[in-house]
Amino acid sequence: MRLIVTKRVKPVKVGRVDILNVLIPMLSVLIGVLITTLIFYIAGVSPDIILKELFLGFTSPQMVRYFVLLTVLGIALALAFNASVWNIGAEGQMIWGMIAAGYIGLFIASTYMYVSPSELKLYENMSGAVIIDRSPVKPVVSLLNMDPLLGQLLMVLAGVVAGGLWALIPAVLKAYLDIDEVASTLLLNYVAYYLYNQVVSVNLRGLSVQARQFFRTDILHDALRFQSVPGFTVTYQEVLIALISFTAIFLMYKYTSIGLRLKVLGSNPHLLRAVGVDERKYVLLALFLSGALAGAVGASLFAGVTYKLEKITNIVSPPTMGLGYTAILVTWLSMLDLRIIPIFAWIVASLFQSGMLLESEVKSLGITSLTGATISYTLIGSILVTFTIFRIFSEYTIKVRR
Amino acid sequence: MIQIKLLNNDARLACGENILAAKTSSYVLIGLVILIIVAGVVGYYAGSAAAPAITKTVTAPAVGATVTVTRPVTVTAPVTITTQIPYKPPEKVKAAFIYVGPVGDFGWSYMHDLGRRVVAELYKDWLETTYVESVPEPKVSETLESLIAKGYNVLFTTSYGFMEGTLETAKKYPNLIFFHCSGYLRYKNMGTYFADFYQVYYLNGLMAGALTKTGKVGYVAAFLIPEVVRHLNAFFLGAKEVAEQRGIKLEAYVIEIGAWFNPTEARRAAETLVRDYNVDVIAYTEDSTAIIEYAQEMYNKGTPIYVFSHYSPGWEYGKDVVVSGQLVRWEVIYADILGKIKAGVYTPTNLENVDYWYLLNTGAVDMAAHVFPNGTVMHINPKFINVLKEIQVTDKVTGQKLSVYDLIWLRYNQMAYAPMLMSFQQLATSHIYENIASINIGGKEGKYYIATAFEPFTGPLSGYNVDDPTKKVSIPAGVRLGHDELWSLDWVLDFVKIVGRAS
Amino acid sequence: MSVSLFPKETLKSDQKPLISVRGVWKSFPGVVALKNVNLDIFRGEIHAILGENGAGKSTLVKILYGVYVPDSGEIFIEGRKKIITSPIDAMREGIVLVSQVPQLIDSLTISENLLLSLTACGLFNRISSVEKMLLKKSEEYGIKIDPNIEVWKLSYTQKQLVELLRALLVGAKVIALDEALTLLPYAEKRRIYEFVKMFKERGGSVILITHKIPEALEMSDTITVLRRGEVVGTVKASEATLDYVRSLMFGEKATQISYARIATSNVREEVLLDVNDLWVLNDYGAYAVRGVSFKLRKGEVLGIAGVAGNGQLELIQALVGLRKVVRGRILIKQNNTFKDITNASAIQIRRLGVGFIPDEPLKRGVTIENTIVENIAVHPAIVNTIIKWSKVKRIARQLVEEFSIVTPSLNSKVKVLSGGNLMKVLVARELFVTRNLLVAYNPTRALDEVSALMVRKLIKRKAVEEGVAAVVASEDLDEILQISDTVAVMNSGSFVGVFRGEDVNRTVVEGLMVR
Repeated sequence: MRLIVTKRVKPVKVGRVDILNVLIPMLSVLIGVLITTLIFYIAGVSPDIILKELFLGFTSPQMVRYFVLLTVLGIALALAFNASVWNIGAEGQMIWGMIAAGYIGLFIASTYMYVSPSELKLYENMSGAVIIDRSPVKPVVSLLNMDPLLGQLLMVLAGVVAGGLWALIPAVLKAYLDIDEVASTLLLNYVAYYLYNQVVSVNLRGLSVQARQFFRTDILHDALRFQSVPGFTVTYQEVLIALISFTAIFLMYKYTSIGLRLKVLGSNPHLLRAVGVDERKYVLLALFLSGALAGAVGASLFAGVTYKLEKITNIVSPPTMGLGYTAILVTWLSMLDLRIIPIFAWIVASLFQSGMLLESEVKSLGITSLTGATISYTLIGSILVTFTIFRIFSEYTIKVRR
Repeated sequence: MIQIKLLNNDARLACGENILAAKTSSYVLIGLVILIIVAGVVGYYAGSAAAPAITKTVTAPAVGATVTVTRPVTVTAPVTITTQIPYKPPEKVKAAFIYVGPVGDFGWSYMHDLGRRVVAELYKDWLETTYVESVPEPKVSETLESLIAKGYNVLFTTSYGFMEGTLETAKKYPNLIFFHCSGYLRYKNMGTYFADFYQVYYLNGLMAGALTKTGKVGYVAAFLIPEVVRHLNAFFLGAKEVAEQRGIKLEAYVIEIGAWFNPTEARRAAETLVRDYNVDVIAYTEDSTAIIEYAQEMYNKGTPIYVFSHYSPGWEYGKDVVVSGQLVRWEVIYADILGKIKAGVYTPTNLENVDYWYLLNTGAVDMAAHVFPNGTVMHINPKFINVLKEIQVTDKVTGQKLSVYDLIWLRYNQMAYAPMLMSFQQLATSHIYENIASINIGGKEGKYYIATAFEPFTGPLSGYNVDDPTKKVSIPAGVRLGHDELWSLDWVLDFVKIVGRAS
Repeated sequence: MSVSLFPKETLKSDQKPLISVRGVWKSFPGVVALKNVNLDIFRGEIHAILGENGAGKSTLVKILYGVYVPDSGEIFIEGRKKIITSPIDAMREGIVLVSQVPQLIDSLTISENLLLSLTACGLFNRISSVEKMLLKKSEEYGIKIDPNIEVWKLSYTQKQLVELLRALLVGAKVIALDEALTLLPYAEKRRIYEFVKMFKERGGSVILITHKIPEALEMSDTITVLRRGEVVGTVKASEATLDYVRSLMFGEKATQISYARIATSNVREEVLLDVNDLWVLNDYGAYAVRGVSFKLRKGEVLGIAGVAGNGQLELIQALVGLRKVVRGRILIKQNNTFKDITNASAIQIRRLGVGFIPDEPLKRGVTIENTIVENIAVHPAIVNTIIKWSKVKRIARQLVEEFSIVTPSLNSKVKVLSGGNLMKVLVARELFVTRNLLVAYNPTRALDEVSALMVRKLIKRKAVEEGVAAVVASEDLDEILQISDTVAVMNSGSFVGVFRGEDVNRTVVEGLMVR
């Protein structure tokens, strides 16, 4: 008896969705969980703990923020990947989104100024004013310059533009000089980190004592910060950004010739040129849109998470938390299918969350042989490996022959 | 020329194409799955063999107690419920620690975790602990909330960058207790704590002044922030005190590397100091052992460079070159905080002014090159004791003649002995009393000493601003710098030359 | 235990087929590609498989090569039943497929490419011994080859030769040529014929997939004709005639086939395109077009005859803005004034209602990873920024019917279509968008005779009824003679002869082509 694996010619569909694209991930998560449970069981952690923490991870309200952010980033990357433009530079684009949003939030939407210590009382009850440094020598007050909602909108728009423009650099290099974008986008991430350090510690450096001491900006005015949804850490604005970008990109693909041409750019750029479409402009567009969405995520990291820009002291832990790279994983697992990206954003965000929960749980049990990252990565790794194996079945069919 | 794109569809026609599982006997799939399991198990045991053995931190409830601990899984509801219910100290304190680095870095996070392990064992009857390591700073809120959801009621965050995230979460969960290390933002349920080394650096400086042959000492700084500026000033103050008496005009050089942990840069900075500035004694603030290893290499090559280990004992990495060093004992602070929480002293309503600022007198910091397994501390590497004993100096305070070795211990004892001081070192409001040397209480006692009998940062001192050298600072004779001045110290002594800055 | 249909004792060794296919069925979504196909390939035989576009020729050899697995049916090799599920299996059995697209890695040298194949087939080897083997084989077949040259430097023909040598190195007993010669210029095709004959003389078998009857008659020993997935006949080439094979291929439609000139003509007075002293470089920086001038009137079909590589391609590309013009001018009439479109971008030119049937259909004509509907919607003349899918679908349905494109559905990816149907999608779209001018290069290549004739008639009808002007370059002289109002012969970059369609002399043209 032999098992014969052949390429599937027609997708298994339920309605209009390729059902295997949904079923196989689920199945592999299940099997991955079993494998992890087995490994941990051998290490002395009882299966009910793992299953409980996994369940908590997949339902925890703290996971939602990363689910939302990874969804937007996943869409950003799928947009480029579908056009065969390999944008590895979401990190740098996010960084520029943060800088631009930081500039708007800290210098346009609000103003920081020194006041004399005696004036502090005056500002304490003034609406639109926040005392950000109560230093006895040089107190700093932040004054709101505009409607906070307008300020937030401007921050996101600035992030979008900045992220998009930053992505245009590799786009121009690719479109007009034929320089490979994988290398250029990746390297530009590090350029972005260093420029960010420069900008933060010189150009945008704050007034408060702490900002002077620790290469960083002042802290964002309370009213300009994104508001978190009660019970969650995710903010309303982040959810809105995700909904808008998902809908917009989905409609663009479905109903516009821009979307179609971006797809064709991915499958056959020569055709575009032959039918009279300048394919180089579409390379620019693909990277611009991709960078713009990453920039929006950067803006929401500033206005919703960090509230300040602080010099990166360790290049392996930038304020973007490597989400730009994690999103590559999300996008590939989704097989570049827009509709499936949220599912994998959820799975990946949940796995990281479960890993962290499991880590703290295992440590509280005093099982010290499993340290730190081992726990999270054993979990994430075994599920993803199982998945890549099982994914064969969505593309291949297996028959038994005698 | 016709050039045709290789088509996905037809690429399988090529023999060169690897056809994925084209002919898969059933064994291959099963084999793969087995491989994963085996790899996982092997990886686990390899990991566990390398990991240090640590004792268990949780024990069963006390004998006879029929308590079933159910962990509240739901998120604690914000604000509303807590205000009406009178606060009661938790039956079981569940403390979680959030570290910025891995506990294996043998620096900052490692020492915090050591502290955690001590209190976990000590208070095991009512304390349960856990930790999460390598938490990116922007992720602190999520990490805190996740731990809160698991029922942890006391949360320690141990990096400056966690400050805002911790404060925000503290505001959201007003019935839980938060402690943030190294920051300055506090709230009614969020206190701050820190253990500072500047006195230890001063003692290290005394040794440096005695050991330098070239008259040039160096300092590798992570960042020129007040904490580090304070430490390097103290180090150079000590070095100058001894070197001057040996008839040497001391030169002091500083390089900023712009990272808390960066062995490569740290080593490079040390190399620069030695090569370009003829420095032969180095102190540093950086979380690796790179500089010690470099000094040991130089010693082996016949050029002795002496160093002082930072944060955790470093003698084992350079037995010929580590003179002494700085050692922290966070457990001193953790034991105090957790004890007071259990006793109901610290509640979620009264932490606004709780700010630990622990110095040599508390035992939270120490001068040490090594700690032996039996608990004995090697304060000074014995190899250097004779040299230090041979050099005779005069105590500038008393005029007494003594050896450097004796001077070091005299100063150590002067700074370690201040029974009154500790009372002021736990509250933000009482920091102002720390720099009062003595008060006159009248009667036959007259003068009552409060602070340490000796304080390195006592005038006359003069220096210049780190960022703007034209801004001069001068402290008049007899004036002691207190907590607030030291906390925001942004000037270096006038003989200190900053020869390298990070961006 | 497998049961052989041909017990050994009943067959004499010289009659035993090398490969026999018995009762093979294969279906794709919406289409049954093969219906109960039986086929025998003998040693030392060139076996042609003929059929119209989409008849199942490729599917059949792809089954032999392990790309597809049949739904049912059996394959016997030297009398033993075999299950071939991958090209590697097939190669172990000595079956090698050479397709239209060379499967070589451009950045590697010839010997490195061959080493890869050998390794993949389990014949582990060193690069030096591969070189030795390669030189030995190429000498044997009289081919000059430098094993250390990178593949991207090779011409298409050379690449196909490398593919054939690869087949020899892996020890092929049967080489299947799946339209492998279709894209070759006529002269270079001869070289491959030589090769194939030598291979046959050394005892090898060849399966030749083609839709060209004369090629099959000339080359092969046996011809099997497929129609709509069924074998309709197997004949000895020596006993077959063109008409007989044609009738097998097309059934009753065969009678429609004719190469007579389409006489209807309606050339207007008004000049549409004015090309003046055009000079264009080829990819290697030499002048491929040297001072070509012509005026094209509305409703006129200009046929450019010539041996491939004499500048037709470069001329065509320059006309649609895909190649830079060094000297000269191209003017097009727009609203009664001439507009200079020399070196205008492709988009500007295509906006003027210019249709273009390119030289490399897979590269410039369609995108195989997208659906038929998307392949039509990709043209800017058909859609606006917001796509009205209902409109595009209507157009697509209309074109599919008009051109009888065999497809499971409008939303099938183009890659599932056969080569001919794929070409039809392209031709249909371009004819649809043509309003003023059609520029075409080999517009009916890969089409079977019936389809090709239909396309030619359509071009002609557009010219006659809508006044569209057409520039058609083709290597097929029959095609040129059939549709042209004016015939230009191109040789070494210049027009060496221009004739009126009705009084062109075939022999004269052929003479000028090779002068």
